[in-house]
Amino acid sequence: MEKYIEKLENIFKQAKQEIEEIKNLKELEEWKIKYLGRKSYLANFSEILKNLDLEERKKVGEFYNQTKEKLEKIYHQQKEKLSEEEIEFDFYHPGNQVYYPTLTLISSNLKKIIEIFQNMGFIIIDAPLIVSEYENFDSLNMPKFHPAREMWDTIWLKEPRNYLLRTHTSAFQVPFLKKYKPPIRGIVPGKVFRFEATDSRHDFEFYQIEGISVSENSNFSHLRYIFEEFFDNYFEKKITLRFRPSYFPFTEPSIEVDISCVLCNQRGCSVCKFSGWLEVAGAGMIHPFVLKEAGIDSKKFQGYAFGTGLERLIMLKYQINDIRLLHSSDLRTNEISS
Amino acid sequence: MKFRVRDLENYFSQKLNWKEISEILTDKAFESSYNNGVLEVDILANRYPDASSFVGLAQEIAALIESKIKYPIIKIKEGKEKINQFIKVKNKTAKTPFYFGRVILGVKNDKSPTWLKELVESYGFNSVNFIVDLSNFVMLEFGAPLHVFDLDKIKNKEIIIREAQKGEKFIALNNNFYSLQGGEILITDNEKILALAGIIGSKEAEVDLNTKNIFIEAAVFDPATIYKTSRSLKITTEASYRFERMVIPQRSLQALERLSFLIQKNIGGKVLKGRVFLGKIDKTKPIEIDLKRLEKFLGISVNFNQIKKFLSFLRIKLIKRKKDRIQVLVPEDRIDLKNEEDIYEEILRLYGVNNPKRVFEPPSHSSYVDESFTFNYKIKTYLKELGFSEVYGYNLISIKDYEFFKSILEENQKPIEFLNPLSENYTYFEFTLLPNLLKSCSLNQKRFKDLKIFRLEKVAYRENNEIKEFYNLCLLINKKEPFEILKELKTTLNYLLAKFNINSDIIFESKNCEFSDPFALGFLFDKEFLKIGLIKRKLLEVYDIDYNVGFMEINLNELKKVSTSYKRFEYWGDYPEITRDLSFYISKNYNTKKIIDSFEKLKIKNLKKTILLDIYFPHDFPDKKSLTFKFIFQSPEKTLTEEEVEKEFQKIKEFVSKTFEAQIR
Ligand SMILES: [Zn+2]
Repeated sequence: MEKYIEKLENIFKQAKQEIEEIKNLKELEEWKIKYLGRKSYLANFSEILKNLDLEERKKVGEFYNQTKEKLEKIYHQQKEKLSEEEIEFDFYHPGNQVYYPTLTLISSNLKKIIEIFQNMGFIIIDAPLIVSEYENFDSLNMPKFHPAREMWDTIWLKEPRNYLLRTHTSAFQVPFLKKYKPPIRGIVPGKVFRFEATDSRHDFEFYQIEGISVSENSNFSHLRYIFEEFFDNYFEKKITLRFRPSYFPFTEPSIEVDISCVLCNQRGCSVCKFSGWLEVAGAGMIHPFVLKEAGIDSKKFQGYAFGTGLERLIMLKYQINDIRLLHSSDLRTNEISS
Repeated sequence: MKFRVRDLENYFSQKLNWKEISEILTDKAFESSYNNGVLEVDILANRYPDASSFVGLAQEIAALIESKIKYPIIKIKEGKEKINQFIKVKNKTAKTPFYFGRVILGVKNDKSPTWLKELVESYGFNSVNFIVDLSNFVMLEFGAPLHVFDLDKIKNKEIIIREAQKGEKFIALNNNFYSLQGGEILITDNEKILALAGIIGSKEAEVDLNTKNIFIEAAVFDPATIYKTSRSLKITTEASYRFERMVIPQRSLQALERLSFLIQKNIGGKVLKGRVFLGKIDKTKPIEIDLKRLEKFLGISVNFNQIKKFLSFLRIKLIKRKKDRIQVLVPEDRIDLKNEEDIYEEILRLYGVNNPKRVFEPPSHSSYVDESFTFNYKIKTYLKELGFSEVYGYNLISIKDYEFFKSILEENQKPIEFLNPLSENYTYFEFTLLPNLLKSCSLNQKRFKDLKIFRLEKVAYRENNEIKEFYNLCLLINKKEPFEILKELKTTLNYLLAKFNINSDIIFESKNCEFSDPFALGFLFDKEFLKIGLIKRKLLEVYDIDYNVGFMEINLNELKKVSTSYKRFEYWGDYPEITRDLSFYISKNYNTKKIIDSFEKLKIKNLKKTILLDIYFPHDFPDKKSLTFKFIFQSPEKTLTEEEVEKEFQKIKEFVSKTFEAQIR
């Protein structure tokens, strides 16, 4: 009887010694087969018990059960320990290389701008790129042979004659006011084209955002509200505005709109040429000539119009210093677009 | 325009801080900067006639700093002899509204003194001689160009102002030869052309150091004619630049007097009595202003005393006041001030353009966004979800692009071509987005194994002489396996159709195409809306692209017409679906669409849906194609048994083998 207990004790001692050396789950499974598997000494212990008398069987049986439980326990302990140690992870692992598709900065920024103006009650209208000379010039108080036309160098169509690629979104002012009767306020965003040499700040095509508001009251103080809200929201910071006198044939009075430099917060930098101001938009009270062309009584209704360049805003916001990068079809330009 | 401040200082009695002046100018008139004795002023186009001169700018500065200027001295000693005995002027064209002149006899022309030489040169003129330099100085002083003729070179002492005839020849001072178009204004005598009016003189009556007797011309010529002549002959001079921006008649007259005085004072001579004076200077008309409207128009509140003060600085006379209505008279040299709004602008400038405070104006209507913006943005987002990136692209294409893709245009469609293209790279407006997308592909291909890009832009062409302009979407996939490319394009199309709830079937029509093979047109409700295919190898070489390119271009106008933003709910049914798959070979020539449609006509019991799973072309049977369909059976009333379904499925199998001689796999 004693020898069986001794044998079980030795088996356990040996098993415990071995299991402490085990470094992986595979070895542990081999250990389990050796000590607890079908062919193990313990598995066949019932044969031994059968031959013992009742008293001995009870005693040895109890010891056998304890040994088996102990073996199972250290097996599970070791398994748990090994499983834990198995999962090693460096949290600087880069994850999988995934390509993130993108939209152009133009698309994502135009979307944002449209939302800002929509929230201020503007309707957002799409207008044609190819327009007549009348729409682009004459209707805006710029008759033929007027030197003011040279502010907008034009790409003309071969046919039909007197058609052109719009040089500014203002080409839609008169059609807009004819279609949507006052009181009305609207935004006309889109591409415009200039017969112009390309450099880091100019390209022959770019986007403009035209704004129009005509009612019985619309004036400069309302325009100021709209501009402040727009620029604050677009640049996501507090912007100071400065209005300066200007001239456009289709507004009277006309103004130039400066914003406080978004790069240096008016401490002075090369972008604002150390003036603290950035010129970003032109605006004015719509000229009575234009209202008349649209069939609107200029004594009853009045309003403002403004225009700003989308690329200019994007370049300032994201600090891109060459419009040709923004207009490149290279996908790397998109990478900062969300 | 750049001014030496020492030239402006002559018109002020007080000392000025020019840095400060440049800031005041920027705030209230023109963007300006001051550096090293030079004031650079960006004079606005409408103010060019009155402010682009020493006197004009000094007057503007005086108004802004609430001061007055010292006016240039004019003290001519006229002789007894009358001018009309020495010169006669006949004007034969309405394009010369004003023509003034003086005659000075016995001048002693000379080289210019240093101060004058330096002055004209610092404004970009070549110093010629005393008389010519003085006339340029006075032009700078008053903003009105003058022309001096050698009186002795004018035949019969008679000047005729007339319009040119087509084909007339003119040799300018600079020896350039011009053939005239007709309609240009000419200053002539009985024999010769003395000057191309308002632009450049000829050598015929040129003033030189031997000149003794002179005729000084001061005039106003029709701006549009000068503009046209200057552009068509490609001559721009200081004079033409000013005439096409309009010269003020009053200033022209003052300049004439000032030059006569300066010549007499500096190089002597007898100024004859009287002047040539053609044209009538109208008195300015009073402008009526409503003070209540002024406040509403500008968004400011300003009291009458302030307004009165502003007007006086601007030399605008207040002639009448009746409650809120006042009448004003503008000075003769402010021809830009024509209506009520112009006066508002003047008051606002002095009040401070930057002073109106922000005020919220409630909108009087609800806001909405043109469908094209929302629709287009949705498409862009969907494509992004499928792994496509958007690329920027110009709307203009080259002659080469046009040649490769012109077959896209139908017979009654013509491209939009430019009269003055920027270069041969930008000669046409896009009628397909493909060429510029291919250029982008070429640019990006190296950095991507599978490149998926798109553009969504306007395309345009003329159809039966009418301009058509609408949005297209063009997708491109660049990778090795052509079959995979086309399959992915089809997946993308399915996704878009599902997103826009378009349930109807697309009819594909395979075609020969100059730039693509295989290539097909897609139709929705008998309307062509889609082009899809693989770009031919030779074209890929032209655009420098490795691997294969598949494309799909969709007319969004047509797509939008049939799309809806929501669809009706469909219940999936109470009883289970049972499915059967069927694969078979048939002759390549069978139109797949006809096979699909034929199942619908079969009237199979409880067949809920037929789905085409796959098509492929087996290598072993070169004249066959393999189709795989999934048939879904479901009854609205009960659970179908396998036997019931099997019976119906057999019918389909029999139909397929019989009708299409199919070999079931
Ligand atoms: Zn700055």
